[in-house]
Amino acid sequence: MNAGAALALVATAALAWRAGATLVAEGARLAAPGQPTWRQRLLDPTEARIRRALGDDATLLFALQAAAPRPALVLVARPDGDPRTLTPERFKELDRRNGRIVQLQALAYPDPWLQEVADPYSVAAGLAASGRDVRVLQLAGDAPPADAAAWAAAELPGGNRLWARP
Amino acid sequence: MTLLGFLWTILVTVVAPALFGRGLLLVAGATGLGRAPQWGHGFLLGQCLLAPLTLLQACFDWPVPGAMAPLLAGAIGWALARRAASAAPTEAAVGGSRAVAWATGVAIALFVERCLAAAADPIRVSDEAFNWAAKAKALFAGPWSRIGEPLAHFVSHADYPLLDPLAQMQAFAAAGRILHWENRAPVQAFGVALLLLLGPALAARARPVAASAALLAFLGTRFSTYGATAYADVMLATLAFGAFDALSRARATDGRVWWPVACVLLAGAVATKQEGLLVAGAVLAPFAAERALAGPRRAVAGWRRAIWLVVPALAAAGQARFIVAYGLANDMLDAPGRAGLATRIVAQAGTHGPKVLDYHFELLLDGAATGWLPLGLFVAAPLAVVLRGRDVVAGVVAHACCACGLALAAYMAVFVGTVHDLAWHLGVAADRTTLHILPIAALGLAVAAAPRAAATRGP
Repeated sequence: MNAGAALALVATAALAWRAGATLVAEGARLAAPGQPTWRQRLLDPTEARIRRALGDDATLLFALQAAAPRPALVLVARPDGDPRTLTPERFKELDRRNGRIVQLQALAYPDPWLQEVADPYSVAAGLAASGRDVRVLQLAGDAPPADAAAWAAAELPGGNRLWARP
Repeated sequence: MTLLGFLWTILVTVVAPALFGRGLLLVAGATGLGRAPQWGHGFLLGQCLLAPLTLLQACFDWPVPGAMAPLLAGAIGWALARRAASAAPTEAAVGGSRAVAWATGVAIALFVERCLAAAADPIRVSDEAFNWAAKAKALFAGPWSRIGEPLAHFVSHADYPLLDPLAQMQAFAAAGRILHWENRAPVQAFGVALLLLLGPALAARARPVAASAALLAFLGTRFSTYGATAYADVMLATLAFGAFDALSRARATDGRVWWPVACVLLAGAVATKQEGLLVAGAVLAPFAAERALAGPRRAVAGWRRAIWLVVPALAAAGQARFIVAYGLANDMLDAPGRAGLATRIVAQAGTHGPKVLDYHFELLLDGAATGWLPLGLFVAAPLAVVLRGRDVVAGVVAHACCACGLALAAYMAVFVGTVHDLAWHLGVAADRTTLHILPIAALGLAVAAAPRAAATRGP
């Protein structure tokens, strides 16, 4: 065997190894439990896909969309924590909250536009004063506005609320 | 109804652009082209040419139904293809190799299965949601006069180019509303187009076993993972490979058809990601250098065709104008309070350089990420020169080595100049940037290692 043929053999063997690894990995993936069914891939309506992805938060998303359609801007308190004093539990909690909000935000836009801000009530009050249709989403566990009497609240599923300046 | 809606999206955003591009290609004289590259190049060309039209429609807040332009273009393409007397391919579908045709079919089937599995989940996390789909939603929802606000606050990395969001916007426009999973289809179709181009390119130049193995090895890289999403990385890899293939074909012919096609695809690469400019330069450089080194007579001959470089230049200028118009900034190029990228590369070379090299070396050794394809190319090409002579690697192998080497070197330099935590930045981006050159590396490696006897110097 000449050197050129040896190069071809070695390189082809390496490529064939990788090709085999691809086929084994693909076979394992196809055989793995939990693969979406063909119904879930092709036939389920979008709402069912969102419910499967978001769980209980899907109900909140659909209620929010019904309560504050375009061009409403809905503000929600940004998860906030000082990295120097953050405990692992608090970090997990903030991470979970952030995950909820960004998914709601991605799936809601533009009906409504959900935006995180540090102080939603004061930002909303300012924007409402300039004539913008703006609300505040109070997730269960968040603080209500300090001047609650100046706001109107609408109940959303799961103990969440939507506040607006009348 | 869901399935019908999905099929409608595919008709408008995948089939119609492919028909349009294929018709233009055939009527322009790209005869003798196999069916697979006809559809592969046709889809890329159609997407690149329809994207400005989609943008224009969005600018005027959709004065006509969004499906009208792609469907009309598809009908025109269909008529053009019928008119092209020699529309029937004279190349076999994938270069005459049954083994490679089977490998291509298997690769496409596995990839499409992944794409359909991804469809079960709406777009809701990561860059797929916050960079790409978010931008498409902001641009589609409009009104255009007020898109600056969502670009500033809702879209992440709003400075990134528009081709991916425009492809998704076509899906929204076809449906007349925002979608949450169907809009992946036009982006995923770039992955199918890539396999349609790579299979025949390998079959034409490498022996069937090496060609088939290289194709399946490529399928096992990050290509499948990112290709099933709406990320723009496989889109860029496809356009880079399409331009490489078109430049190779232009080199082997008089270039009348393929040089303009290459320039349109380079423009598409520029319009896909910020890195597209870098990748487009890396793909074009070896072909330009070869022409320049061939002597003044060859370099000057056909100089008028250089005018086509205006197309990628226009894409870059349009992107720059969009960034300026909406006051957008790039985290690497316009980092506030930091030195420019070039200055940072020099300043951080000592601290970051070895780490970046080390990370990339490990990446090239990681079979699951890169399939050993670039590493194999950089090892096999010089060995092939020594063992078989320079003629064997002239053409596609030399071009692939230069394009991959240049792109990797440029990417590593950018990582050296990062403004972010280096380990984090490499961890989230290096596998995707390497992906951009993997198809070119797969082709170069297979040809360097096991060239087909009649095609060592071919396109």
